[in-house]
Amino acid sequence: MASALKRCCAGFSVAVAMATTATAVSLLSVAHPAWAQSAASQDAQVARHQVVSATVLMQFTRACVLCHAAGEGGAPRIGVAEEWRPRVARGEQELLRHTIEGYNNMPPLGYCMSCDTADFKALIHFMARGN
Amino acid sequence: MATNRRQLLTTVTLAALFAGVPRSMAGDVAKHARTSGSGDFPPVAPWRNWSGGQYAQPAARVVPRSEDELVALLRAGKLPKVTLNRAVLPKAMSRTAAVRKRHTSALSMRPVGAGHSFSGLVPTEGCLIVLDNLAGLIKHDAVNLTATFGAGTRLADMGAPLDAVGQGMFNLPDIDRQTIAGAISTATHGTGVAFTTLSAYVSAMRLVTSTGELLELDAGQDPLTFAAARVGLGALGVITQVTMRNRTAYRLREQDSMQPTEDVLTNFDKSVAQHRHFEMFPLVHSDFAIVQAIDETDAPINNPPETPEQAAAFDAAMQAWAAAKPKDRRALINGMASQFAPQVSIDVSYKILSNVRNTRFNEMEYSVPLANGAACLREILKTISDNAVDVVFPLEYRYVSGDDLWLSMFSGGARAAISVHQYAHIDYRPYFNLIEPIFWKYGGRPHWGKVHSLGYAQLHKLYPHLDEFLAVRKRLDPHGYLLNDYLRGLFSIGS
Repeated sequence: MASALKRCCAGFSVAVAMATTATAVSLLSVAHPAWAQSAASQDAQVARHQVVSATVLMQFTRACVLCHAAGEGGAPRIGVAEEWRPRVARGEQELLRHTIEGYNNMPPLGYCMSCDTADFKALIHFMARGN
Repeated sequence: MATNRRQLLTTVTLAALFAGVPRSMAGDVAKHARTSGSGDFPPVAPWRNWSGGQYAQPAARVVPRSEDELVALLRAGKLPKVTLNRAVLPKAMSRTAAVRKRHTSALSMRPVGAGHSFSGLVPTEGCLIVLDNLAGLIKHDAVNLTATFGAGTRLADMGAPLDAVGQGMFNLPDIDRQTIAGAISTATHGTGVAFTTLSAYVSAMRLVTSTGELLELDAGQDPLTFAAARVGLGALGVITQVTMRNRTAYRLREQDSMQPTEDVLTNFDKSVAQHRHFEMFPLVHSDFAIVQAIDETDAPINNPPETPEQAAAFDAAMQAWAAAKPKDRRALINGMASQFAPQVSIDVSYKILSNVRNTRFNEMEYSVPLANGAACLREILKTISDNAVDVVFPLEYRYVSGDDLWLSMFSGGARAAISVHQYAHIDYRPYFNLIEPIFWKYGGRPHWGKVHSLGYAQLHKLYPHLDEFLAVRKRLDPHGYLLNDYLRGLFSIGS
């Protein structure tokens, strides 16, 4: 865990095959309960879901998690499918617009000042898929 | 029902105005996407502040991974030059103005923290320099009780690591989402006549100028630059590290109660003397205020989160207030407020002093001399009532200690800070335009990070050291790379 976080903090920003290390698996399992299984099962799961980059994970933990962990202000929580369904139904473009422009209690850019459009799309997918 | 100041300020959501979302469909985002690709948004996402009131389309976001990388970038001068896109110009801007601006713009950059300022400090068509990677506790001194953080550390992320090394910040602002660099650069403050702005607790800092010179600043070396940089508006350089003076970790006991506004105001100075922190949130169109008194304690932690029932009940109460016409609200609010019970919370200091704000708003805050505070507040409340301003957001009234920082609102002595708010989805200008002249009448200084309409002509009378600050600015950023249109207006610097 510590080494994965250290690497993230160092800021390497390309998508990485985090599933290749046990520490990465334990880190990812925080966001996806299904991954908190046996090591072999984890490898298989992560291989299928190998989409999260270190950058996305760090942006999530620095910004999105402020509201999307506990559901502050009515934010849909990562890992809670029923809270994402109605949002997902509106489509990617509308979620992207809400994220960049702000919507209800969601502040514009969702507290992620370093995020550009592609980052927001990746974060939306990461959170919406995490259930 | 218990009075909870944080409930009021975090859950006044007027949920009825925001209809719920449909619950019929399910699936992943891509499956239901109406368009593919980046759609209407360019690869470099537009920038907006927290309230949505400030906007810019930057040419690039620069997210340095380290101080060294930032220094190298700025020394090389390889940031993208501004190529003004007429499509993003305000419609009112003339062709002539646009052409002139395009010819005079070159390298332009603005540092951004959390985007929590309501004023135009950040918007740039050049480069946004984002400090997210320069975050976290870097070192601490257990003897002198200081701690050094990366400039991009959010206030919400400072309390726990400080507590782990036995330290706590003396004070914090209400909202904990700002970065430490953004907070000190705008003289952000908490409550208490014994406590200064966060800027005055800075004992050292590292700052990179627009040409890549790394400055290590403290009171011993280059005190003039240090005096300017502790409230620098991001106009002197990019802060990379901040060292704060702290104290030993501690707990606080907060009591929120509903009391008659006039009674609280009459006894305000006495109450301030009796408590570590004391402030009031007058409910507009009523005779009541939420009163918050905070004191140090050794009592066990007792700070349960609000229940869904509490949140729903408070939300319903606020909806009832909002649904009534302003002239009909006084009896309604008085009748309800008089039956709210006090509520006590005990927790580690940072969890009491600061928290998240879920409801977005715009804010104007001025600080007036203590002797003028009560009269200024009374006139604001009367003006809101007389003009039937349709606002339900409470005011905030508190004292803050004086300091010696050049651009601090509290430079030269303690002042009373008075804030007015309006929901982010409502045009704040009619309300704020009505109230702002009252602040001027009582000698108010505007908060740098909040809405105001003053320019250099007024500011240099309110801030005696403004010209000294501008001299430091010119020395550190002679080409004006760190200026945007808003700062040029504040400083009376031509394009």
